[in-house]
Amino acid sequence: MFLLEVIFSFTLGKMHRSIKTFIALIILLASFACFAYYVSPVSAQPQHKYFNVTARQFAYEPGRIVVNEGDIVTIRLRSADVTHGFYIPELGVDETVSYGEEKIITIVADKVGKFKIRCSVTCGPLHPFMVGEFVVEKGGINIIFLGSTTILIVAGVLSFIIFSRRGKQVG
Amino acid sequence: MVDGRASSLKNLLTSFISHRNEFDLTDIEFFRRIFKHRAFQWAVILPNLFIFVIVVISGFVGTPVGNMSFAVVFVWILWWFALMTVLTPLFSRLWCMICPLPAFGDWLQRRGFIKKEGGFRWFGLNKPWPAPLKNLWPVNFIFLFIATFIVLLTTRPVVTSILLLTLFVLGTVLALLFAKRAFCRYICPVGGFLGLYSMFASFEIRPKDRTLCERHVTKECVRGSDTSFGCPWLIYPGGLERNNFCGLCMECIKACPYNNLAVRIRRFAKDLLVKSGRALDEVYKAHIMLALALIYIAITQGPWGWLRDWGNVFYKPTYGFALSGIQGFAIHAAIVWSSSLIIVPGVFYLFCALSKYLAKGEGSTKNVFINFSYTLIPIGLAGWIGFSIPIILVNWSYILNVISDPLGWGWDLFGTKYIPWQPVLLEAIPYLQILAVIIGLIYSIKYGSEISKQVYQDERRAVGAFLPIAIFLILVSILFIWLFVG
Repeated sequence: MFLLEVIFSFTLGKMHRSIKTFIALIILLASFACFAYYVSPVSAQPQHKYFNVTARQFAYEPGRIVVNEGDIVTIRLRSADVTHGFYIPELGVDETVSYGEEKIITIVADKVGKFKIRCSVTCGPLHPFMVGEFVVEKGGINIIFLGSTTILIVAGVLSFIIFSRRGKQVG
Repeated sequence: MVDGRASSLKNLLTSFISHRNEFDLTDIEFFRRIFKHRAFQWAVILPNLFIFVIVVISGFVGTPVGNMSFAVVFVWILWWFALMTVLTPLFSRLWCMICPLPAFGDWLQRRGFIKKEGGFRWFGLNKPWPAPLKNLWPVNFIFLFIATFIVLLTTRPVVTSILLLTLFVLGTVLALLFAKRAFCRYICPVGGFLGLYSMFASFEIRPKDRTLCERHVTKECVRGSDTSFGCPWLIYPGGLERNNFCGLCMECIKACPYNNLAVRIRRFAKDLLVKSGRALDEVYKAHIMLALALIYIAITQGPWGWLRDWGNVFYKPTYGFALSGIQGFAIHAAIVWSSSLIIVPGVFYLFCALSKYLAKGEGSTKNVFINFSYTLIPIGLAGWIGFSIPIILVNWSYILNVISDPLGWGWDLFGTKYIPWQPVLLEAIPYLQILAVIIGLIYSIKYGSEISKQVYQDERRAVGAFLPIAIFLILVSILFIWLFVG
């Protein structure tokens, strides 16, 4: 409650709006920089990682694979029921696997972001919903999420400050 | 002349964001004549009715494979995307103008397709809608019931067709029992959320001069005239302040002897500041839509297969520890209903209580809840836009496939049946989703702060009251961003 009242008084203080905006931005960005520094691992050297993935109607198990930029990822893909696809065009992956088969897929994680793994073979009623996630982080951080969240918070705080200070609207 | 056109163009281009340059389409002779033409609505419904018939038939007799079915692809990929990203945000309830569901009911009530004959009287019982049901609660519960079966609906063509046919029959039967469009106003599950999100739209029908409408005794816009049936939506167009229940049928434009109704392109989200009409049943719709956006993104676009299994009532566990279809579906239904009716509104209510505390407000927390719930409309709509973007960019090629073979009988009418599945702009999807959420958040905060100034006369209290709400909006936005790119 105290913290909220501090923020409250901050938004209404006598300081010039642009200075407050600047301070707010600095505080936010510094907070996120500290957070990013805190969560990042000491070493983020590219590694060779191995995953066993089972495709089944209508999911991948595990549904989410998280690696670091530069990692070389080897996936041993099996199907638990019918023929499925394993499609990540952003990373140049387009493979299919039938029941009883095993496919080895090698992915070079050279782009950061969250990429959807999609089934490219119609495999049943929920086929369009059969997705998984292949997340490529940078130094242990999902920088797209971190960056977009930072921008979002800054946009939110700025909007709050700017629109709160505007003249009264007639409803 | 050239200056005049340039000025008109400038007004049109700035009308989306500026309250000073609203652009009235009835100032243009072409649009005025079209809106006043009796055959206008009939002409825009007819092609849609044709597509509707194909959709229903294809669901019953066509392929049962969802992504190869005209019913599923046209309704849940093309229509849904168009509705949530273009039609509603830009043109309000434009869909209601062309919707085929109440068409037969209209034609039966009016004893004809287009013209109003001399000695006209309504066909059917023409009863008034029961007073206890004159609210959005029936729509909310009907919508939530249907929404519970979303996995089934969007993947089984026959279920889509049964739903559409049921709504069509219901619309027709209710038109024979009750006056005008009671179905659209009080029952239609689509109309509920279209009405809510049409408040954000940059399009409106409004009286040009309200005092003229007040002085005008005969009120043809309601009662009808020789050329018009009057507003079928049970509203008084001369007093229109919000889009919620205006189906853009243009009957009022045809009726008004003074040409006193404007069809305007206006700034986005203008209706959020209109105090009259704010009510608990309406804002609950905003909470339901917000909760469902989050749940649907998680179910249909997330990596959690077990969530999809739970939503699929026909799921048969094939390995490991898994719940049966009915068990899982019961949990799914509990999640959908509790999130929509209790969790999301409950958490928001707590933020509203905090808002009231910080503002040292005298009114009830319920009023704070109702007023500030309208801030959820831009961010909720943004979430739905973010949800809809991948639906079209990933699945667009299915539309071409089913156009060539609408019934799944092996036709290839336009040579597009075998176009391979080819998603486009996949790398752009996360950024488009992020952009949608940020814009939605900015609009939510902008209008939230203005609503707060409406409620609290004192600026200091207004800012204090809105602070917890702004934090809630930012947290919801982060949740959307996490689902999209986290």
